[in-house]
Amino acid sequence: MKIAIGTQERPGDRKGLGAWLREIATRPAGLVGAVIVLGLLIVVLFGPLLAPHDSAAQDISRRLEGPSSDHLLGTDVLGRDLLSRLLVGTRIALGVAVPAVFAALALGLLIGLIAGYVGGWLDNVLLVLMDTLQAFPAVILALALLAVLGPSLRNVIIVIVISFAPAYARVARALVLTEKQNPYVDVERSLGASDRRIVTIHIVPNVIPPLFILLAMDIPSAIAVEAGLSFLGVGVQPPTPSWGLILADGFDRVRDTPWPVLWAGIALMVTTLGFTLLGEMLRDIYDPRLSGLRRLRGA
Amino acid sequence: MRLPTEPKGRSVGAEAPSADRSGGDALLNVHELDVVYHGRGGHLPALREMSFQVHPGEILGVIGESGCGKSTLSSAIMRLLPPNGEITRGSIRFGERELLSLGPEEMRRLRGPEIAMIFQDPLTSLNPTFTIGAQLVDAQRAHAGRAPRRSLRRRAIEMLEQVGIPDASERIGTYPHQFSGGMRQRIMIAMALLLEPKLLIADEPTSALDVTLEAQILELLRRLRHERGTAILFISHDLGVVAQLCDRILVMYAGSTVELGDVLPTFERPLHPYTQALIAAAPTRGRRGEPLATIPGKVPSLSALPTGCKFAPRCAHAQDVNLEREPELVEFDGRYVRCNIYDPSSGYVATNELQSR
Amino acid sequence: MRRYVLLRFSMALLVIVLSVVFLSLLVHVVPGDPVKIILGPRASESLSSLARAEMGLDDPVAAQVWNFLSGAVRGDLGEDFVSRLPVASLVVEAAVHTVVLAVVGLGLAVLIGIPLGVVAVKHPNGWVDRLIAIVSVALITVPPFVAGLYLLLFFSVELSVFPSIGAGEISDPMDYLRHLTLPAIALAITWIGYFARLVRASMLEVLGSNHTRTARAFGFPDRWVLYKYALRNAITPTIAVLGVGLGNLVASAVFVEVIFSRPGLGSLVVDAISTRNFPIVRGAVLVIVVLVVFANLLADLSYRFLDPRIRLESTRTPL
Repeated sequence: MKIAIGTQERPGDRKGLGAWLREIATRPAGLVGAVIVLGLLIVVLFGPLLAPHDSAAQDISRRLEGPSSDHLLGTDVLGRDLLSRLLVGTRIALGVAVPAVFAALALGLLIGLIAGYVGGWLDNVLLVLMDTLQAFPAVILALALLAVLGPSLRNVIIVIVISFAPAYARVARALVLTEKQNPYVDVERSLGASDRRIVTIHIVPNVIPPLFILLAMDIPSAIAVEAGLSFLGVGVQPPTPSWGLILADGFDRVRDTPWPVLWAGIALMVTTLGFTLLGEMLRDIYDPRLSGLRRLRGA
Repeated sequence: MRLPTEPKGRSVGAEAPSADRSGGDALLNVHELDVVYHGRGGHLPALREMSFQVHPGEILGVIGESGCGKSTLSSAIMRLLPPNGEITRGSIRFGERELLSLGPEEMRRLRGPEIAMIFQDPLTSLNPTFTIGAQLVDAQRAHAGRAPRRSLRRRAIEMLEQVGIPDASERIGTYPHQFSGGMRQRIMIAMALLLEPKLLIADEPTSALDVTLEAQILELLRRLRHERGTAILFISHDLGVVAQLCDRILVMYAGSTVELGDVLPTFERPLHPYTQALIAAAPTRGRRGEPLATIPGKVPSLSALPTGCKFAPRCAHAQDVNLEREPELVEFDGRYVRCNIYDPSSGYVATNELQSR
Repeated sequence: MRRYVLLRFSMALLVIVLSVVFLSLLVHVVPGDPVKIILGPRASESLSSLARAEMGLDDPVAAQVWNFLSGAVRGDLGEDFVSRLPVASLVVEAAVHTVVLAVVGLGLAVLIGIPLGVVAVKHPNGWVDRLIAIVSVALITVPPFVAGLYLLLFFSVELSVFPSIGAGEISDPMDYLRHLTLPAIALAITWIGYFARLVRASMLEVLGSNHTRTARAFGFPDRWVLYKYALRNAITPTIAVLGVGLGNLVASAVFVEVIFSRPGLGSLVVDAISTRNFPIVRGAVLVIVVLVVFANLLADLSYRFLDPRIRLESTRTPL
């Protein structure tokens, strides 16, 4: 990939694999995060294979049981094996959150690029629009949109994209504005480069890396949002085994058995922990200054 | 409660000679002080065998390039080294007391009323969220016991007037950012003066100021010494300023004293090759049109100090012996110098070569 | 400063107006008959015509927006579909409970989180500091609704220490407080973690600054340096963060209210969604947005007011 003339050398740039491994080794917290995320990826890939039972198989005679040799984590209200459901649920959790956040980044990047590069009244309009969207807490916006769109997995993704994109747009816009000031932009233009070329080849490579750090920190938030919305009943619909749904079912019957709530909660916490630790490590390695940009979001 | 800035000081028994040539007892006597910074790779020797004295009412200038250890010196004397700094050897005597054997509370009581310090960057040295009045009063309250605030405030106003802040009684309720850099430096000096210290350590107080302001601050300092007999340890990288202001001058290189003596003789006939090079490098009126002299090479990094004399790699007079043996600080005609060329036992080698213009 | 206040205020107002517009346009976002979208395909005829009339869906879109906007300004948010009650009164009643919950939760977080941060910074990188760091990360990564569920599970179901349903009677303060405890703790948990870290980080920064060096050089007691000076300087970034996170807090309140069956804006919205009572959804979301925007505004202005450098921007005297 061509690196623009004006690119600043940052600590994380072009490090060899050895240097990366060394950085990771000195950060035990990040290492834990990386291990967790790796484990989650394995579960996502091989979930159904690892599951001892079919996650959809019901057995009413054995419902709401605690852990046993047969069902390591117990069963839910319809007699389905909790462990299997949780394992498959990993796919939902990551399968919704990760693509959604990536799409949010892409959308936000586009908006931010336009606003920052074109400027003028368009910039102002976009800025006000982004501000307005950001005035809605993510979950609230989600609820309002889902009331109209109807609950479904697809709509949850759409809703996450819409709520998370403004933040990326703002950051991208700010970065584009700084990059635009760089002398090399004028140089390129005087050499006859088209706007599109300047943006894609020179500006974008400098804008993208910080956005990826935000993305790493946003994934746990998105996972929590999806689980939360499904918990409320306005997200993923049964019988898809979203962790939020498992929690909701468990909540309904919490006086009969604590296990669904317990295990699903742990699954969520471990996942958010893993991604958060990983994200923080990446942020520290790449640019410690960004620690001020910690965004507070999520359910 | 200890905040993490108190260095692990040691009580060292080394008896420091307190008498000097003038016969008077030194106010501050630093003897063979070693300071080390602990880092990931190992230790960095920031100060090595620093020895010098400051007498009551005297202004001692400390000269050196960036990285020679000047700031470490002032921090060490105040015992305010960062957590990774440690005084590993030597003694610092202030009056009758050995500073390195004092506890944190005793040391705290010393800072301000006995030894005060002003810093290089006035723009950031005052707390931005408190008025200057509050800070000046607090400085006194930290040591004044139960004196009523009103009287402390009045003293503060008087002191501000003395250092040349106009409309002091009105401005005392304003915030630091409402003053210019030169004003803030004066406020710092006022803060120091309110405590009437015997020794004032001025760590490059004028480096951030323009020439006019600098002259005013220097005048203030002179008045200080004249009216109150305050001794001043004036740290700087500017030879010209030191020449104007100081009685004696100490030249530092790579964490150690290389020359120490009265200002006039040192400037007229510098002994150490580094001092000579420094003086030669300073632009003066008489040599217009000639290319500026520089000192070849650069200051050695603390992690890679050469063996033997630390200045030898850049020294025009270096001989093989200098690369092996680090010279001692020897007295030579009332002055001190650390250079192998001066060896009292075998006579003074090649002194003729070293006569400056 | 005054100009900035005016600017921020106008911006806030603009955002609110745009939110109103957005909410009134919401039903038209999706292609299809708005009534079917709101009520679902199986709505009765009478309900459909009621909805149409109530929301003015036969009027041109611009008129709909204007009606909602002018109504909102007057405090009229329409009537709900099910009980024909004014949405505004339902929403205000619920808002009280939510605000109480949010304030108490935040207060708890401040009371616990800030001291934790101070304790951590006394011996940086000591074992206490590391312990608090681990606890902070753990607290931050627990999604609030999971925290709420666990609290419900342990303290309410298993141990029966606290009630699990409702808000209790306001007339009986002790009862109300008992019902408030677990929900408030659930809300506070994440924030305790944030505050502890933030306070620690900002204090550490202040303690390493030049003016702290000055304070120590003048023999200020450590106690002063830490509490009087460093804490004071560290409060401002804390408040700034507070502003940003208030929206987050409201979102968490939604879950907490549902989990503990507490009345409030959150449970109001969630119930309304399941009963397809759209005017309530619209009205409640609007009120939530207004609250969040003003809370942000308040936090932003306080933070600027507390920092003398910003407060006295125009009074620089060049001398």
